[in-house]
Amino acid sequence: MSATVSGTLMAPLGRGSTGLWVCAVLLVAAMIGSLAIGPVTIEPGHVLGILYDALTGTRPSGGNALRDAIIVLDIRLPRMILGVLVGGSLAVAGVLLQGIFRNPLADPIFVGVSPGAALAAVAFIVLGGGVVIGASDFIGRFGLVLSAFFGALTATVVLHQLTVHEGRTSVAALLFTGIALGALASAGTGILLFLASDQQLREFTFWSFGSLGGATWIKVAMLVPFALLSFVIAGVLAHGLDAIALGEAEAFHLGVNVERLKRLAIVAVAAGAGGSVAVSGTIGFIGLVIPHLLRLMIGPSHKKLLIGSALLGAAILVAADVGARTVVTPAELPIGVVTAFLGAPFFLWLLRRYRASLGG
Amino acid sequence: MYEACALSFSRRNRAILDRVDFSVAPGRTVAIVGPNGAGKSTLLKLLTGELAPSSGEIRLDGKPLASFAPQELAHRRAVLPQSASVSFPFTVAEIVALGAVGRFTRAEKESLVARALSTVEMPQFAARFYDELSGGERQRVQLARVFAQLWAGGGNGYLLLDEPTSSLDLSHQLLTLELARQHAATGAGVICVLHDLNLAAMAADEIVALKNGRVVAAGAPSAIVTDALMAELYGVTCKVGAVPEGPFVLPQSVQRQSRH
Repeated sequence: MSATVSGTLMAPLGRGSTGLWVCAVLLVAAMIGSLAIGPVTIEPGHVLGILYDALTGTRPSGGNALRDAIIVLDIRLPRMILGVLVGGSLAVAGVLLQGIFRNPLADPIFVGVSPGAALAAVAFIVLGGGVVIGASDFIGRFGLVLSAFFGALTATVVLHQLTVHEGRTSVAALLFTGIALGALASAGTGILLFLASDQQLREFTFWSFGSLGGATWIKVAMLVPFALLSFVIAGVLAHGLDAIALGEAEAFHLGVNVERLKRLAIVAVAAGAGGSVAVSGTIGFIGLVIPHLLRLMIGPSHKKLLIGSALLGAAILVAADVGARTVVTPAELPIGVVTAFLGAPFFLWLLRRYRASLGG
Repeated sequence: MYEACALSFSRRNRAILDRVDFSVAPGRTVAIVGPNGAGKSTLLKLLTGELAPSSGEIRLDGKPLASFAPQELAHRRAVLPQSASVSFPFTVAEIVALGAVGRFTRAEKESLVARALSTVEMPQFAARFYDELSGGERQRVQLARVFAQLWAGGGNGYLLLDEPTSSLDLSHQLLTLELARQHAATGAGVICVLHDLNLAAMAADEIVALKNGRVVAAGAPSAIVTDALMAELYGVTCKVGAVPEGPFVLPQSVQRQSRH
């Protein structure tokens, strides 16, 4: 009797480890692929050789070897790393939003967090007197990320204040409030871009659909502290997020400091989503689709879900970026267009699944 | 000892609880009864620490409740909610394992979960999805989670139950109350909000009757469940019967009075 009991238990408490390895392998494949694929195709083996040489300090002699090294190390590598950080941050931000609002349909872009970050970032550029335009001014760029962070923070706090009542929030109320907040922020962004000079106006697609184009090591360095902050906080909160799935009161009964958890989670969401928006514009659906796929694959326990989401979010965004820059060469699609094509049908399918909780 | 002294709670200038005194000693089961809106759930929320009283104080093991850190409190008391939905597709075993507050290895968690599920007679449900269970099954899974939490805290913590029988059939109502009694018999205290006076009379050592936020009677079931109290609490006239195990109320004997 007791043997069969623990036998049936092994699976439910232990599910998911294989899934995490699958995510890790997919990420490595996407990373190597994104360094190999482009207008000039470089064999994956050659890519690894270039990376190895760079790590050991060996300089290529010249000719094609030098050209390939420059393409891989100076053009594709920063873009790939930026994609890894943005994809991981957005997916983790999605998990955190869904966790604290107890709502599987939350995504930074639909609940107004990313639009809020974009508004703050555009306001910084347009009203900040062009400090950052065309300059590699470190402080200016850092100010941009910081203001996107505060924009995302404000949007998340407002969303929380408007939708959570006595520890409860309805799925529909969160989405509708998010739509309104997002529309408001986008309208503000629109006004600012209208006031802006032509050069800045061309950035409109960047803020509404996102892009990893123009990735530089400086952008990577700007995002790293924000992404790390969100990952570290998420790791600390994993257990409490599991308990909050039962309800805020129940989580408190289980010994979770609910208010502290929500405050930290909101900061982590703002750091991950806000930081990402500052360097890559608003990219949708990663925060929605990735956590959901992983819950189907490895279950909803947050420790594994967060690790898996960071890995798979990074993998999918890097792969989507390969698509964005190869499908219509020599032009480039905004990456948000690619993720929307993949994510929107998935979202529609989810809406059908959750129609009961939406009152339909 | 769980003690509340002159506990008041008001919201938007309306008093929901008014100077309530309440105490549960280890090994005792206390049922809180009263009509809808009497303040039963609010009293329980104050006792869990979920709400802070407007005035008065709650002490647990001689220490003010407010001075406990959430995790410390989780080791001293566990709470069975009235109903709980779960926002993501957790399995039954994963839900019960949430009760293992503190540092445990996976093997320890698994044996805790297995024992808790056997206690509520659901060992074969471990791998099922919680969302797919009936209301009554969910309630029992939550009870298993609560027992896992009490055991993880050392086993002598207080058990607080909010309408534990609301979605259960008769045999599981009796199972739940029997488990609560067994827990009390190990020397721990049990506090239980109950609608059903017969169940309260059967399961509790002491009944506290609330009306309009005040304690109108408190004591042993045989002293509390009387014709007079039924009239005062619920505004109904009825004949309370008695068997050797205690008093009982037959709904057939009840006549409603016009309320005032």
